[in-house]
Amino acid sequence: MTNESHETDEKLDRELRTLTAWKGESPQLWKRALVEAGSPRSVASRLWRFMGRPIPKRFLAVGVAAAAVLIIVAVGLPDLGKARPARRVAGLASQPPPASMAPSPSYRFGSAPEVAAFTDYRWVISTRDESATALPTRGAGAPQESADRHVIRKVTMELTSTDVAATFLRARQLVSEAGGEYIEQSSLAGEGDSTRASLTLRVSASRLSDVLNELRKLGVVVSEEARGEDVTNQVVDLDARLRNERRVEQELLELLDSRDDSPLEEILKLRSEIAKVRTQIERYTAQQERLSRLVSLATVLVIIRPEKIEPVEVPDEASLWTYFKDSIGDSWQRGVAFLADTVAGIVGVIVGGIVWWTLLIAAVVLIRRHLRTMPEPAP
Amino acid sequence: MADPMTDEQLLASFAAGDTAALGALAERHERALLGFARGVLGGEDLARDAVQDAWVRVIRHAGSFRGRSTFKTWMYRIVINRCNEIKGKGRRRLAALPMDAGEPAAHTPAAEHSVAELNGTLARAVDELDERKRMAVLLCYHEGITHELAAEILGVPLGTLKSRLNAALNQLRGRLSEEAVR
Repeated sequence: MTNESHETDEKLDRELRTLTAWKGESPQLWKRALVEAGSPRSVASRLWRFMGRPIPKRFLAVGVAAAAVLIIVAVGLPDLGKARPARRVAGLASQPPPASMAPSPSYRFGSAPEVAAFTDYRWVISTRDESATALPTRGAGAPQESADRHVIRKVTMELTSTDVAATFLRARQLVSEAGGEYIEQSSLAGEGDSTRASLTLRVSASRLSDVLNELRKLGVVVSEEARGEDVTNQVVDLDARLRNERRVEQELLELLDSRDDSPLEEILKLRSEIAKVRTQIERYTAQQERLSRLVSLATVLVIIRPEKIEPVEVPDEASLWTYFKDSIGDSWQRGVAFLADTVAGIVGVIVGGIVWWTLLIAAVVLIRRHLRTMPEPAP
Repeated sequence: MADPMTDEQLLASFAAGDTAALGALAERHERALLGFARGVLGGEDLARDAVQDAWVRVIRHAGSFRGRSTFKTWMYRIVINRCNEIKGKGRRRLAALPMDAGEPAAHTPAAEHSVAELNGTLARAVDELDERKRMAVLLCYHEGITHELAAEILGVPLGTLKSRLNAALNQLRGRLSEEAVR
């Protein structure tokens, strides 16, 4: 190195040092800083300061333990919820309720409101308005219809019986063929608990109440529904039309008799008209007879199914102690099962997540080492 | 006579509520910090702002000092951060003013002119260095800072620091030689 360069280096050294030298007294900036530091700071700066504070070790340990417990509970809770079902304890059996609480009958005729009473699992239907052609009640006589009313009755009754076949046969015997009654349809199928029977009885309207009473005795009434269709207007209308047609026919016949010497063409026309009237009369007569049959014979649909009788376990007063012991024993078993599930869940979380636990621990160790080697962070 | 308290002890004492401890720390380091800040920022006013900001942060974070490094290292880092912040806000480096020399210069007009001219040239040359080299030069030539301490402040290995320093000095020599030729 030449003298010149050495001299340059010395100057450079000297000047570089003067660049960062401070001449003069210290301006005591720290005092102003104290004042400034004591002034209100923004929320952000306060938060930053809070976050920069070291966490005491005891809080850190508690926090880590709480986090671990939360993780275990969160992961294992769904499994704990699937604990073995508790054993059923044979408690007190209760009387089975009726299979079906039957709807009250609906009446189309009149405005008789229905009143239903429950007696011995059987529905007794009674009507307040006796003037209406209501469904016959238990023990009541034949429905009192006025001569002017014509009602088509349909009843549906569902029974349960311990012996469906026997009930079926007895129901068939209720029909009185001498009175024009008959069985429109019947069926019996199945065996044992699956036995089902149904009958459609056509019984005279005057005997309807008696037949229904007899049917109710054959089994337990599950449901009973009655309907009445008032066809009085139709009957009256048919009568009127029939009378009219007959009168027309009579007049035409009289006209035919009085016109023996009329031209053939007129006679043929007259006969044609008479034939038309006769056809109409026959049609109306058939309708009238059909309505008369429907009104005179009510339709009763009977459905019979087996009655299930379950034995009722009546608690014995003397065995209450046994019941208590059984309850305690069952609770103990449930508790042990739950404890086993809990432990199994924890073991499952620890063992099943061992890879993740290992990675987590390794990450924590590495982070701690890195933090230790890091220089002091300068705010 | 009791041993004087270390910087770390004074800081802990201040964190515990002893304001006088902060004064003791300031008495030890404030002038040096001001000089360093002036070298980085190029102006005394800016240097005062930077150092005052640094003291504010020391006051607010005294409780979070973990002792992983020395107080001096920590303090200089804070000052460097504050200087960078000020520079980032667009404050231009003031034109290099004739600075008083650390050593008494020759009191001849020619000598004074020469010193002033060299100061301005040097300041501009230092300003032209990149950030890493500039910091390396300013720290290594700052009173009371060893190369090891400078490396710790900058958070680089000692070898890296020396490499940067050599490169910076070479660049400065070259720059000054060019100016001398003109």
